[in-house]
Amino acid sequence: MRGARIEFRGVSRHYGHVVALHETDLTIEPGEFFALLGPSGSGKSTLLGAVTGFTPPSSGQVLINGKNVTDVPPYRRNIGMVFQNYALFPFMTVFQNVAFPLQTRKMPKAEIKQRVERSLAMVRLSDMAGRLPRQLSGGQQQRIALARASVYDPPVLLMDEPLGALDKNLREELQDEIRQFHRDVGATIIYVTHDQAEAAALADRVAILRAGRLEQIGTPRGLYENPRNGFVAGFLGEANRFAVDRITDEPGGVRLATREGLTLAAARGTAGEAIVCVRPERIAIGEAADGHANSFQGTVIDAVFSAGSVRYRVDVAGCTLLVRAGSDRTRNAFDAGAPVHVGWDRDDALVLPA
Amino acid sequence: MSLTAGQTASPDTLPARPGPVRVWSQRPVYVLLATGPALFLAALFLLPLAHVVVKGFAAPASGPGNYTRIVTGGPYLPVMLGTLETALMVTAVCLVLAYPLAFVGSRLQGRLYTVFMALILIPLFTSVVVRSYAWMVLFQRSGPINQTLVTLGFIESPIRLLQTPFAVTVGMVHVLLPMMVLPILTSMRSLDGTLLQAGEIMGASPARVFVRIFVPMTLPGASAGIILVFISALGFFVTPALLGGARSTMIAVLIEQQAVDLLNWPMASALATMLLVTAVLIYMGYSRLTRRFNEMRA
Repeated sequence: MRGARIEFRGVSRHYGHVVALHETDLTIEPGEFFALLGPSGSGKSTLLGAVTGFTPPSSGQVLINGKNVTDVPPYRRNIGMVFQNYALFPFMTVFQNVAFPLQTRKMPKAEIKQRVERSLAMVRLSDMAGRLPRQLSGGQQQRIALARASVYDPPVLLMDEPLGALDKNLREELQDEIRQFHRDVGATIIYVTHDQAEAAALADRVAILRAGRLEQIGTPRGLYENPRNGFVAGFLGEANRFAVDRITDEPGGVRLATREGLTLAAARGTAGEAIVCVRPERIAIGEAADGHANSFQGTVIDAVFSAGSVRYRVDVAGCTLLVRAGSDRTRNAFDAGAPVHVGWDRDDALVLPA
Repeated sequence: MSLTAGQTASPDTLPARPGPVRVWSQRPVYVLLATGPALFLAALFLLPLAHVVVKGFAAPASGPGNYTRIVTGGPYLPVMLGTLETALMVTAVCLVLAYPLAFVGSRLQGRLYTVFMALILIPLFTSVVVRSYAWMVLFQRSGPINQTLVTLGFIESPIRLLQTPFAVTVGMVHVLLPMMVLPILTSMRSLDGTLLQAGEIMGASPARVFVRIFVPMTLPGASAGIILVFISALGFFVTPALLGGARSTMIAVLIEQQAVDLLNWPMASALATMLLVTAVLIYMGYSRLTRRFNEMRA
């Protein structure tokens, strides 16, 4: 089975005078893994509700494979969905849960059995068929929910914060599983989350929403490296952000005076843009910082080790800079209070609208 | 950092799974608090109850004589069976009325829901005697029900409504309905709506979702309502006494006749014991059934 193309044409949603979603156009390609990322209340659930049909749009159309489904009731849309709280039926066994969508499709018993078994094998829970949901762990329940949502081969799979209720290690484990799952079933997946790392880890493309508007759509890497504005830059990954006071041209680029009192060099920037962003891993620290267009003397506030890298907070003239450096024991080892040099190139300073 | 017993845990060192919670009843202060009510119940409930049970075996001669009389003749067994039948009927009517009523209530929000709850609860706080007298007025030969039926041409002359099983059933349903509505309403309101959405997105029509998911999920509420109403109905006295008359006697009315009119306290005691044992047996059967049911499902 192949995934379906999903199109939003001028979809909006109002609750009285409150606009939950401004008019939105968006096309999701067949088989794509598409993440809707944004803080709560940004409109991502509203977009999802327009696909399921549970919260029909106030205006506009939703098309699945070119067919207008705006007025089709949810149960005729042939969509699979995974909920944050799993939404497994507590009084049914795992087998009965997974068999439910097949029974509603009036499939013969033998085929139901075969399909359920194949589906449970896919999530590696074949021996749990006779259990009740509450006898399973959270991660197992979510895998059953995956099996149930895909057992009838829906061309569209919606996932509404499916890992939100799980702890961090389990989340990362299930991320790998969901990626594999997507390759296996080939459905178009719309994945709603407010966790930017999760969206970046899973999705082919990510749409970032804010206050009912699409801010930017792109690949995780594209969004990270070329954010359209300060919100996107801050939402996807970490960023050092400074408010820009004044921009003046100079040979090789522009010179910025920030509100914090720093003077920075950047490759480009136009008057009216308000924010300059520098990614923590683009900032060199120690000897490596020499010879950059931007170069400052600072003091290490603290250093946090995590797998593969160290995250420093460095005080530079009263501003706190985040710096991420490879945890190379010989070169990058600075203790709190140590004076250090930090620096970055013009190209690494992104000047953006707010 | 390791966490040892007695040490105050800061939020980030709390274990993910809390250990066994201390059983509250082991605390001496709770035992002390429970002593008063326990003594009160023992003196004013258990002792008289024991007295009733003993009295059923004590007179006129010691032994099971009263029970032999109940089983071998007289109105006793037929009235007991009739009581069970009426209680069953009342329970069934309550269930049929309460389920849709609770469904409507469970969909309401804000002020409408408050009004709905008031409509359910106010009758519950109104005296059963008052409500039964009100039904007497309605059911009278010259009462509004008869008048309406005559005016509309359904009947030629007023018919007898009072002192019929029909009147008893209607009166009891009216009194007991809130006890059916409330547990069902609770189970409907606590039902997780995403379960219904999950059912629908998987292809089940709203009707199918209702039958396959909504009803099973609200069954515990319904079963609680059924047992509450049925056991209450078994011992009903005021309503059948006022609306029933001699022919549709319930067991509680018979007990009152034996005790007050015939002054046959031993027989009254034996009948009361029989009613109590019946109710207890039914409750035990119910709790065993629900326990097995709960083991089977979530």
